[in-house]
Amino acid sequence: MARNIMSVFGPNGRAAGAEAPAAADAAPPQGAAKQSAPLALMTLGKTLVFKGELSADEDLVLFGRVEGSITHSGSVTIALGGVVTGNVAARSITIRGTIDGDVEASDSVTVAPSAVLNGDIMAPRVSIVDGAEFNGSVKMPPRAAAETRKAAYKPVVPAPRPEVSAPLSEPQAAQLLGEHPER
Amino acid sequence: MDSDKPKDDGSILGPTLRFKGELTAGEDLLIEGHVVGSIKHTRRLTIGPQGHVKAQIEGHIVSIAGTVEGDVQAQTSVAVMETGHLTGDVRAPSVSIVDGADFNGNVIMDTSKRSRSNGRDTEKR
Repeated sequence: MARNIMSVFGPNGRAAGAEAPAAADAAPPQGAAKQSAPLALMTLGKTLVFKGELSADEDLVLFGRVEGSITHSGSVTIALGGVVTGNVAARSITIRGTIDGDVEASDSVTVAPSAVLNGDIMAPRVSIVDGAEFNGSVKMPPRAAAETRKAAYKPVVPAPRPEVSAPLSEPQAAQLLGEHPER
Repeated sequence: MDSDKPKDDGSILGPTLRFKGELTAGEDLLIEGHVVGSIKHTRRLTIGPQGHVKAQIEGHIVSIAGTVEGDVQAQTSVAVMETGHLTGDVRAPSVSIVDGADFNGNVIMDTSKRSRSNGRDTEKR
């Protein structure tokens, strides 16, 4: 399973690398039908057709078709070949397939080169990779965006340090140390 | 490459999944989540121990280890496992109910459709 994902999305390099290990850990073994181990990743195969409302908490990879809405609290991936006709709401959404509808994420939306998206995006962080087909508008909630950016921001330039090339003169040092030279 | 990948192990609807509406599928499917509405299926369908289905089910081979409220119709067989709870009618050429299963409903067996004549059926409450 994971190997296959890797082979399909291999050329996307970064995205595949980030996702494949998770899939390998979570992919259930062939005979999992008898067990009921908690699943971290759920795969909806390509012959599956959902008409209606779908909601879930565990990470979801959709190869099939959903006609209706998806409400999710984790990460949703619409894989290559996956089709959604309806709105999608989740924490983070990765689109490699097709969506006709609005996409709303509390964290981020990624539109991969193979994706077709007809609808609006609402998320604090949005990336649309060159090659993706996208018709719609992007709305970033201002305050949330600022907070997320602030949280994600790591300064590259270190904070300025005082110059210490020349030793301070006696009065300067005294002043800096908060002492009065007279005393 | 893409086409034969998910078919291999089928799909699993995890325990946190909630779906309301019509579900159709053509691959082996294990339901551990909650489904309300209808399920149309062409292969092996398993309602796992954590599965909760309130739906009309149409399938080929249906195996119930979870809770099902609704009528179940299968072209080949229906099996209610030990952990299964079924409230509804069963219509299939071959039906098996394992000792310990919870079943309330009618069984309508069309044995003429049965492919093999060795299908034994036990019905217990």
